[in-house]
Amino acid sequence: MNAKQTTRNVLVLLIALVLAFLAGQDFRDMQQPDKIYAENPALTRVAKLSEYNPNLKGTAGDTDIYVFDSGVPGGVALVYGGTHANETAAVMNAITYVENVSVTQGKLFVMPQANLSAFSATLPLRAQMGHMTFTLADGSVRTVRMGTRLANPVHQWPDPNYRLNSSGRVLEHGEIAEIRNLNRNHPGMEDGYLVEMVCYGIRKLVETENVDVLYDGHEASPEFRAVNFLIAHQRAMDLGSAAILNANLDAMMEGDMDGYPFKLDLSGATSWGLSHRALGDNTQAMATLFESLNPVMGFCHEKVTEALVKDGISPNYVHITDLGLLGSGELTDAGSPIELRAGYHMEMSRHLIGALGELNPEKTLTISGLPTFNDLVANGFEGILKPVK
Amino acid sequence: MINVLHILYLVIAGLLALVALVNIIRAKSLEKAINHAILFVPLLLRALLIK
Repeated sequence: MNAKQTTRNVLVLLIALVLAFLAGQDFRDMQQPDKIYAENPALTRVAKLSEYNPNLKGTAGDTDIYVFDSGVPGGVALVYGGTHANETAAVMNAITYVENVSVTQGKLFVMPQANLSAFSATLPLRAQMGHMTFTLADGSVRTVRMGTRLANPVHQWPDPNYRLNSSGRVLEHGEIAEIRNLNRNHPGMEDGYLVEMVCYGIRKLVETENVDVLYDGHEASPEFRAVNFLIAHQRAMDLGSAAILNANLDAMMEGDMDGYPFKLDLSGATSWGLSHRALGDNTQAMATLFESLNPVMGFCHEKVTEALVKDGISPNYVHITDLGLLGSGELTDAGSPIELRAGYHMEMSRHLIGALGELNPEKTLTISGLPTFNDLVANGFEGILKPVK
Repeated sequence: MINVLHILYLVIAGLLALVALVNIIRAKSLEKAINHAILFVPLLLRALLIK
Protein backbone atom coordinates (compact mmCIF):
# COMPACT_ATOMS: atom_id res chain seq x y z
CA MET A 1 0.00 0.00 0.00
CA ASN A 2 1.48 3.34 -0.98
CA ALA A 3 1.62 6.64 0.85
CA LYS A 4 -1.23 8.10 -1.21
CA GLN A 5 -3.58 5.27 -0.19
CA THR A 6 -2.56 5.57 3.45
CA THR A 7 -3.17 9.31 3.40
CA ARG A 8 -6.59 8.77 1.83
CA ASN A 9 -7.50 6.15 4.40
CA VAL A 10 -6.38 8.32 7.31
CA LEU A 11 -8.57 11.10 5.89
CA VAL A 12 -11.54 8.69 5.78
CA LEU A 13 -10.78 7.73 9.40
CA LEU A 14 -10.70 11.38 10.47
CA ILE A 15 -14.03 12.03 8.76
CA ALA A 16 -15.44 8.96 10.55
CA LEU A 17 -14.19 10.30 13.88
CA VAL A 18 -15.83 13.67 13.22
CA LEU A 19 -19.11 11.95 12.35
CA ALA A 20 -18.81 9.80 15.48
CA PHE A 21 -18.26 12.94 17.55
CA LEU A 22 -21.26 14.74 16.04
CA ALA A 23 -23.55 11.70 16.32
CA GLY A 24 -22.23 11.03 19.79
CA GLN A 25 -23.39 14.47 20.95
CA ASP A 26 -27.02 13.50 20.28
CA PHE A 27 -26.61 10.25 22.17
CA ARG A 28 -24.74 11.94 25.02
CA ASP A 29 -27.56 14.52 25.29
CA MET A 30 -29.93 11.63 25.98
CA GLN A 31 -27.73 10.55 28.87
CA GLN A 32 -27.92 13.94 30.59
CA PRO A 33 -30.40 13.75 33.49
CA ASP A 34 -33.61 15.76 33.28
CA LYS A 35 -33.86 18.76 35.59
CA ILE A 36 -36.85 18.26 37.80
CA TYR A 37 -38.14 21.09 39.98
CA ALA A 38 -37.48 19.99 43.55
CA GLU A 39 -38.24 23.18 45.49
CA ASN A 40 -41.78 22.35 46.47
CA PRO A 41 -41.82 23.34 50.17
CA ALA A 42 -43.97 20.29 50.91
CA LEU A 43 -41.21 17.95 49.70
CA THR A 44 -39.77 16.06 52.67
CA ARG A 45 -36.75 14.53 50.92
CA VAL A 46 -35.50 12.99 47.70
CA ALA A 47 -34.75 9.31 48.20
CA LYS A 48 -32.94 6.92 45.88
CA LEU A 49 -34.22 3.52 44.83
CA SER A 50 -30.91 2.04 46.03
CA GLU A 51 -32.13 2.68 49.58
CA TYR A 52 -34.49 -0.21 48.93
CA ASN A 53 -32.05 -2.32 46.87
CA PRO A 54 -28.39 -1.48 47.63
CA ASN A 55 -27.27 -3.39 44.53
CA LEU A 56 -28.60 -0.46 42.47
CA LYS A 57 -26.18 2.05 43.99
CA GLY A 58 -24.01 3.64 41.31
CA THR A 59 -25.96 1.98 38.48
CA ALA A 60 -28.04 3.49 35.72
CA GLY A 61 -31.16 2.19 37.47
CA ASP A 62 -30.84 4.18 40.69
CA THR A 63 -33.73 6.58 40.16
CA ASP A 64 -35.03 9.39 42.38
CA ILE A 65 -38.11 9.05 44.58
CA TYR A 66 -39.76 12.21 45.88
CA VAL A 67 -41.15 11.74 49.39
CA PHE A 68 -43.98 13.82 50.81
CA ASP A 69 -44.44 12.85 54.47
CA SER A 70 -47.06 14.77 56.42
CA GLY A 71 -45.93 13.24 59.72
CA VAL A 72 -49.59 12.44 60.43
CA PRO A 73 -50.57 8.75 60.39
CA GLY A 74 -52.66 7.83 57.41
CA GLY A 75 -52.59 6.12 54.05
CA VAL A 76 -49.53 5.66 51.85
CA ALA A 77 -49.48 5.86 48.05
CA LEU A 78 -46.87 5.44 45.33
CA VAL A 79 -47.50 7.32 42.08
CA TYR A 80 -45.01 6.65 39.34
CA GLY A 81 -44.37 7.09 35.65
CA GLY A 82 -41.51 6.28 33.35
CA THR A 83 -41.87 2.51 33.44
CA HIS A 84 -41.74 3.06 29.68
CA ALA A 85 -39.73 6.18 29.00
CA ASN A 86 -41.54 6.98 25.75
CA GLU A 87 -44.89 7.29 27.58
CA THR A 88 -44.43 10.90 28.49
CA ALA A 89 -47.85 11.77 29.92
CA ALA A 90 -47.23 9.47 32.88
CA VAL A 91 -43.87 11.16 33.47
CA MET A 92 -45.49 14.61 33.24
CA ASN A 93 -48.17 13.53 35.72
CA ALA A 94 -45.53 12.52 38.22
CA ILE A 95 -43.61 15.78 37.62
CA THR A 96 -46.84 17.73 38.22
CA TYR A 97 -47.18 15.98 41.56
CA VAL A 98 -43.57 16.70 42.50
CA GLU A 99 -43.93 20.40 41.72
CA ASN A 100 -47.30 21.06 43.29
CA VAL A 101 -48.60 18.47 45.72
CA SER A 102 -48.93 19.02 49.43
CA VAL A 103 -49.76 16.23 51.89
CA THR A 104 -51.50 16.95 55.18
CA GLN A 105 -52.25 13.38 56.25
CA GLY A 106 -50.44 10.22 55.26
CA LYS A 107 -47.43 9.80 53.02
CA LEU A 108 -46.94 10.02 49.27
CA PHE A 109 -44.05 8.67 47.18
CA VAL A 110 -43.65 9.96 43.61
CA MET A 111 -41.22 8.40 41.13
CA PRO A 112 -41.21 10.19 37.74
CA GLN A 113 -38.65 7.97 35.97
CA ALA A 114 -39.04 4.39 37.15
CA ASN A 115 -36.87 2.84 34.40
CA LEU A 116 -34.20 5.53 34.46
CA SER A 117 -31.92 3.68 32.04
CA ALA A 118 -34.66 3.75 29.38
CA PHE A 119 -34.55 7.56 29.30
CA SER A 120 -31.00 7.46 27.89
CA ALA A 121 -31.97 5.67 24.67
CA THR A 122 -34.60 6.02 21.96
CA LEU A 123 -36.68 3.55 19.99
CA PRO A 124 -34.63 2.49 16.96
CA LEU A 125 -36.12 2.92 13.49
CA ARG A 126 -39.16 4.84 14.80
CA ALA A 127 -37.92 8.41 14.11
CA GLN A 128 -38.73 9.29 17.69
CA MET A 129 -38.07 12.74 19.10
CA GLY A 130 -35.55 12.78 21.91
CA HIS A 131 -37.05 15.55 24.02
CA MET A 132 -40.35 17.27 24.67
CA THR A 133 -39.92 20.99 25.34
CA PHE A 134 -42.09 23.56 27.07
CA THR A 135 -41.38 27.30 26.90
CA LEU A 136 -42.56 28.84 30.14
CA ALA A 137 -44.02 32.31 30.70
CA ASP A 138 -40.65 33.67 31.87
CA GLY A 139 -39.00 32.54 28.63
CA SER A 140 -37.12 29.61 30.17
CA VAL A 141 -37.40 26.20 28.57
CA ARG A 142 -38.17 22.97 30.39
CA THR A 143 -37.27 19.77 28.61
CA VAL A 144 -38.15 16.17 29.34
CA ARG A 145 -36.42 13.26 27.64
CA MET A 146 -38.56 10.89 25.63
CA GLY A 147 -36.76 7.61 25.94
CA THR A 148 -37.62 4.09 24.94
CA ARG A 149 -39.71 1.24 26.22
CA LEU A 150 -36.76 -0.86 27.33
CA ALA A 151 -33.64 -0.23 29.37
CA ASN A 152 -30.66 0.94 27.36
CA PRO A 153 -28.66 -2.08 26.07
CA VAL A 154 -25.53 -0.13 26.99
CA HIS A 155 -26.54 -0.57 30.64
CA GLN A 156 -27.84 -4.14 30.49
CA TRP A 157 -26.31 -6.69 28.14
CA PRO A 158 -26.67 -9.35 26.90
CA ASP A 159 -30.34 -10.23 26.53
CA PRO A 160 -30.52 -13.91 27.46
CA ASN A 161 -31.88 -16.47 25.02
CA TYR A 162 -34.17 -17.76 27.75
CA ARG A 163 -35.17 -16.36 31.14
CA LEU A 164 -37.66 -17.69 33.67
CA ASN A 165 -38.12 -14.49 35.60
CA SER A 166 -39.24 -13.84 39.15
CA SER A 167 -42.91 -13.71 38.18
CA GLY A 168 -42.88 -17.10 36.51
CA ARG A 169 -43.00 -15.49 33.08
CA VAL A 170 -40.85 -17.17 30.47
CA LEU A 171 -38.99 -14.74 28.23
CA GLU A 172 -37.82 -16.44 25.04
CA HIS A 173 -37.92 -16.10 21.26
CA GLY A 174 -39.65 -12.82 20.35
CA GLU A 175 -39.89 -11.74 23.99
CA ILE A 176 -36.18 -11.92 24.76
CA ALA A 177 -35.70 -8.14 24.76
CA GLU A 178 -38.43 -7.86 27.42
CA ILE A 179 -35.76 -8.67 30.02
CA ARG A 180 -35.18 -4.90 29.76
CA ASN A 181 -38.87 -4.05 30.20
CA LEU A 182 -39.70 -3.04 33.76
CA ASN A 183 -43.32 -4.07 33.29
CA ARG A 184 -42.53 -7.71 32.59
CA ASN A 185 -40.12 -8.34 35.44
CA HIS A 186 -41.99 -7.49 38.64
CA PRO A 187 -41.59 -8.40 41.51
CA GLY A 188 -37.92 -8.55 40.57
CA MET A 189 -34.71 -10.00 41.97
CA GLU A 190 -32.33 -8.47 44.48
CA ASP A 191 -29.27 -9.40 42.42
CA GLY A 192 -30.27 -10.09 38.84
CA TYR A 193 -30.29 -8.14 35.62
CA LEU A 194 -30.44 -4.36 36.08
CA VAL A 195 -34.18 -4.15 35.36
CA GLU A 196 -34.88 -7.06 37.71
CA MET A 197 -32.99 -5.22 40.44
CA VAL A 198 -35.03 -2.06 39.76
CA CYS A 199 -38.24 -4.10 40.05
CA TYR A 200 -37.00 -5.55 43.32
CA GLY A 201 -36.27 -2.05 44.59
CA ILE A 202 -39.83 -0.97 43.80
CA ARG A 203 -41.18 -4.06 45.55
CA LYS A 204 -39.10 -3.36 48.67
CA LEU A 205 -40.22 0.29 48.61
CA VAL A 206 -43.83 -0.88 48.61
CA GLU A 207 -43.24 -3.43 51.39
CA THR A 208 -40.99 -1.28 53.58
CA GLU A 209 -43.12 1.84 53.42
CA ASN A 210 -46.41 -0.09 53.71
CA VAL A 211 -47.75 1.41 50.50
CA ASP A 212 -51.53 1.01 50.40
CA VAL A 213 -52.14 1.94 46.77
CA LEU A 214 -49.74 2.10 43.86
CA TYR A 215 -50.42 3.83 40.55
CA ASP A 216 -48.32 2.88 37.53
CA GLY A 217 -48.84 5.37 34.68
CA HIS A 218 -48.58 4.29 31.04
CA GLU A 219 -49.61 5.30 27.54
CA ALA A 220 -50.80 3.20 24.66
CA SER A 221 -51.24 3.39 20.92
CA PRO A 222 -54.69 3.87 19.39
CA GLU A 223 -54.62 0.20 18.36
CA PHE A 224 -54.42 -0.96 21.96
CA ARG A 225 -57.64 -2.45 23.30
CA ALA A 226 -57.49 -0.80 26.73
CA VAL A 227 -56.87 2.92 26.18
CA ASN A 228 -58.14 5.01 29.12
CA PHE A 229 -58.60 1.85 31.14
CA LEU A 230 -57.63 1.45 34.76
CA ILE A 231 -56.26 -2.06 35.17
CA ALA A 232 -56.65 -3.14 38.77
CA HIS A 233 -55.57 -6.11 40.83
CA GLN A 234 -58.58 -7.89 42.31
CA ARG A 235 -57.97 -6.27 45.70
CA ALA A 236 -58.07 -2.86 44.02
CA MET A 237 -61.30 -3.28 42.04
CA ASP A 238 -63.54 -1.59 44.62
CA LEU A 239 -61.02 1.22 44.90
CA GLY A 240 -60.89 1.60 41.13
CA SER A 241 -64.68 1.63 40.84
CA ALA A 242 -65.01 4.30 43.49
CA ALA A 243 -62.24 6.40 41.94
CA ILE A 244 -63.78 6.35 38.45
CA LEU A 245 -67.24 7.16 39.82
CA ASN A 246 -65.92 10.05 41.88
CA ALA A 247 -63.82 11.39 39.00
CA ASN A 248 -66.87 11.50 36.74
CA LEU A 249 -69.03 13.10 39.42
CA ASP A 250 -66.36 15.78 39.86
CA ALA A 251 -66.22 16.37 36.12
CA MET A 252 -69.98 16.78 35.99
CA MET A 253 -69.86 19.23 38.89
CA GLU A 254 -67.35 21.21 36.81
CA GLY A 255 -69.83 21.30 33.93
CA ASP A 256 -68.57 18.41 31.79
CA MET A 257 -71.65 16.20 31.63
CA ASP A 258 -69.80 13.58 29.54
CA GLY A 259 -67.31 13.02 32.34
CA TYR A 260 -64.05 11.19 31.73
CA PRO A 261 -63.69 8.22 29.33
CA PHE A 262 -62.33 6.00 32.10
CA LYS A 263 -63.08 2.30 32.24
CA LEU A 264 -62.09 -0.42 34.68
CA ASP A 265 -60.66 -3.83 33.93
CA LEU A 266 -59.42 -6.66 36.11
CA SER A 267 -55.74 -7.50 35.99
CA GLY A 268 -55.26 -10.69 34.01
CA ALA A 269 -54.41 -13.76 36.06
CA THR A 270 -51.64 -14.56 33.59
CA SER A 271 -50.23 -11.03 33.37
CA TRP A 272 -47.07 -12.31 35.01
CA GLY A 273 -44.44 -9.70 35.56
CA LEU A 274 -46.74 -6.73 35.07
CA SER A 275 -47.04 -4.31 37.99
CA HIS A 276 -50.77 -4.68 38.56
CA ARG A 277 -50.52 -8.48 38.77
CA ALA A 278 -47.08 -9.12 40.24
CA LEU A 279 -46.95 -6.31 42.79
CA GLY A 280 -50.56 -6.96 43.73
CA ASP A 281 -49.85 -10.67 44.30
CA ASN A 282 -46.55 -10.17 46.11
CA THR A 283 -47.16 -7.13 48.32
CA GLN A 284 -49.91 -5.71 50.48
CA ALA A 285 -50.56 -2.82 48.08
CA MET A 286 -53.62 -2.33 45.90
CA ALA A 287 -51.93 -2.26 42.51
CA THR A 288 -53.32 -0.28 39.60
CA LEU A 289 -52.15 0.80 36.15
CA PHE A 290 -53.68 3.36 33.78
CA GLU A 291 -53.18 3.78 30.02
CA SER A 292 -53.72 7.11 28.25
CA LEU A 293 -53.85 7.56 24.47
CA ASN A 294 -50.63 8.47 22.66
CA PRO A 295 -50.97 8.37 18.85
CA VAL A 296 -47.22 8.49 18.15
CA MET A 297 -46.89 5.06 19.75
CA GLY A 298 -48.97 3.49 16.99
CA PHE A 299 -47.90 2.26 13.57
CA CYS A 300 -50.28 4.25 11.37
CA HIS A 301 -49.31 7.82 12.22
CA GLU A 302 -47.83 10.36 9.83
CA LYS A 303 -44.32 11.75 9.84
CA VAL A 304 -43.18 12.41 13.40
CA THR A 305 -43.55 16.11 14.18
CA GLU A 306 -44.04 18.09 17.34
CA ALA A 307 -47.75 18.41 16.48
CA LEU A 308 -48.03 14.63 16.54
CA VAL A 309 -45.88 14.05 19.61
CA LYS A 310 -47.07 16.92 21.78
CA ASP A 311 -50.58 17.54 20.52
CA GLY A 312 -51.44 14.01 19.42
CA ILE A 313 -52.83 15.25 16.10
CA SER A 314 -53.00 12.50 13.48
CA PRO A 315 -55.34 12.69 10.46
CA ASN A 316 -54.50 9.05 9.69
CA TYR A 317 -55.92 7.90 13.00
CA VAL A 318 -58.94 10.18 12.64
CA HIS A 319 -59.65 8.43 9.33
CA ILE A 320 -59.15 5.01 10.93
CA THR A 321 -61.52 6.04 13.72
CA ASP A 322 -64.15 7.12 11.16
CA LEU A 323 -63.86 3.69 9.55
CA GLY A 324 -64.84 2.17 12.91
CA LEU A 325 -61.65 0.15 13.18
CA LEU A 326 -60.55 1.16 16.67
CA GLY A 327 -61.86 -0.35 19.90
CA SER A 328 -60.84 2.20 22.50
CA GLY A 329 -58.15 4.52 21.12
CA GLU A 330 -60.45 6.63 18.98
CA LEU A 331 -59.09 9.98 17.87
CA THR A 332 -60.74 13.20 16.65
CA ASP A 333 -59.34 16.28 14.91
CA ALA A 334 -58.73 17.75 18.37
CA GLY A 335 -56.01 15.17 18.86
CA SER A 336 -54.74 13.86 22.19
CA PRO A 337 -52.53 16.62 23.63
CA ILE A 338 -50.02 15.93 26.37
CA GLU A 339 -51.97 18.09 28.80
CA LEU A 340 -55.17 16.09 28.27
CA ARG A 341 -53.32 12.78 28.67
CA ALA A 342 -51.42 13.90 31.74
CA GLY A 343 -54.64 15.41 33.09
CA TYR A 344 -56.34 12.02 32.84
CA HIS A 345 -53.43 10.48 34.79
CA MET A 346 -53.70 13.21 37.38
CA GLU A 347 -57.45 12.79 37.84
CA MET A 348 -57.25 9.01 37.93
CA SER A 349 -54.44 8.93 40.50
CA ARG A 350 -55.91 11.76 42.56
CA HIS A 351 -59.24 9.99 42.85
CA LEU A 352 -57.63 6.66 43.68
CA ILE A 353 -55.95 8.42 46.59
CA GLY A 354 -59.26 10.01 47.57
CA ALA A 355 -61.13 6.70 47.37
CA LEU A 356 -58.52 5.06 49.61
CA GLY A 357 -59.69 7.17 52.55
CA GLU A 358 -63.37 6.75 51.65
CA LEU A 359 -63.17 2.98 51.72
CA ASN A 360 -60.66 2.80 54.61
CA PRO A 361 -60.95 5.89 56.84
CA GLU A 362 -57.88 4.90 58.87
CA LYS A 363 -55.89 5.03 55.62
CA THR A 364 -56.85 8.54 54.62
CA LEU A 365 -54.20 10.25 52.50
CA THR A 366 -55.03 13.92 52.13
CA ILE A 367 -53.38 15.74 49.24
CA SER A 368 -53.89 19.20 47.77
CA GLY A 369 -52.16 21.69 45.51
CA LEU A 370 -52.50 19.88 42.21
CA PRO A 371 -53.85 21.97 39.32
CA THR A 372 -57.39 21.19 38.26
CA PHE A 373 -57.92 19.22 35.07
CA ASN A 374 -59.47 22.27 33.38
CA ASP A 375 -56.53 24.49 34.41
CA LEU A 376 -54.01 22.02 33.02
CA VAL A 377 -55.83 21.62 29.72
CA ALA A 378 -56.52 25.34 29.34
CA ASN A 379 -53.09 26.66 30.36
CA GLY A 380 -50.93 23.80 29.15
CA PHE A 381 -47.72 22.71 30.78
CA GLU A 382 -46.27 26.04 29.65
CA GLY A 383 -48.52 27.63 32.25
CA ILE A 384 -48.19 24.95 34.93
CA LEU A 385 -44.54 23.92 35.08
CA LYS A 386 -42.18 25.89 37.27
CA PRO A 387 -38.82 27.27 36.10
CA VAL A 388 -35.81 25.25 37.20
CA LYS A 389 -32.78 27.24 38.25
CA MET B 1 -21.71 -13.10 36.57
CA ILE B 2 -23.70 -10.32 34.99
CA ASN B 3 -20.98 -7.74 35.77
CA VAL B 4 -18.44 -10.01 34.05
CA LEU B 5 -20.67 -10.12 30.98
CA HIS B 6 -20.84 -6.32 30.95
CA ILE B 7 -17.04 -6.11 30.94
CA LEU B 8 -16.98 -8.71 28.19
CA TYR B 9 -19.40 -6.51 26.21
CA LEU B 10 -17.00 -3.58 26.43
CA VAL B 11 -14.04 -5.74 25.42
CA ILE B 12 -15.84 -7.17 22.41
CA ALA B 13 -17.12 -3.76 21.25
CA GLY B 14 -13.68 -2.24 21.75
CA LEU B 15 -11.88 -5.00 19.86
CA LEU B 16 -14.32 -4.83 16.96
CA ALA B 17 -13.89 -1.04 16.81
CA LEU B 18 -10.12 -1.55 16.74
CA VAL B 19 -10.38 -4.12 13.95
CA ALA B 20 -12.57 -1.72 11.93
CA LEU B 21 -10.02 1.06 12.49
CA VAL B 22 -7.14 -1.13 11.27
CA ASN B 23 -9.21 -2.17 8.25
CA ILE B 24 -9.78 1.50 7.37
CA ILE B 25 -6.05 2.23 7.44
CA ARG B 26 -5.22 -0.89 5.38
CA ALA B 27 -8.07 -0.58 2.84
CA LYS B 28 -6.88 -0.79 -0.75
CA SER B 29 -9.76 1.21 -2.25
CA LEU B 30 -11.87 4.21 -1.22
CA GLU B 31 -15.04 2.10 -1.27
CA LYS B 32 -13.60 -0.43 1.15
CA ALA B 33 -12.30 2.35 3.41
CA ILE B 34 -15.77 3.92 3.53
CA ASN B 35 -17.39 0.54 4.19
CA HIS B 36 -15.16 -0.04 7.20
CA ALA B 37 -15.72 3.56 8.36
CA ILE B 38 -19.49 3.01 8.33
CA LEU B 39 -18.99 0.05 10.68
CA PHE B 40 -16.48 1.91 12.81
CA VAL B 41 -18.77 4.78 13.90
CA PRO B 42 -21.41 2.76 15.81
CA LEU B 43 -18.80 0.33 17.18
CA LEU B 44 -16.81 3.22 18.60
CA LEU B 45 -19.91 4.74 20.19
CA ARG B 46 -20.84 1.35 21.72
CA ALA B 47 -17.34 0.82 23.07
CA LEU B 48 -17.51 4.24 24.71
CA LEU B 49 -20.97 3.42 26.14
CA ILE B 50 -22.41 6.42 24.32
CA LYS B 51 -24.85 4.55 22.06
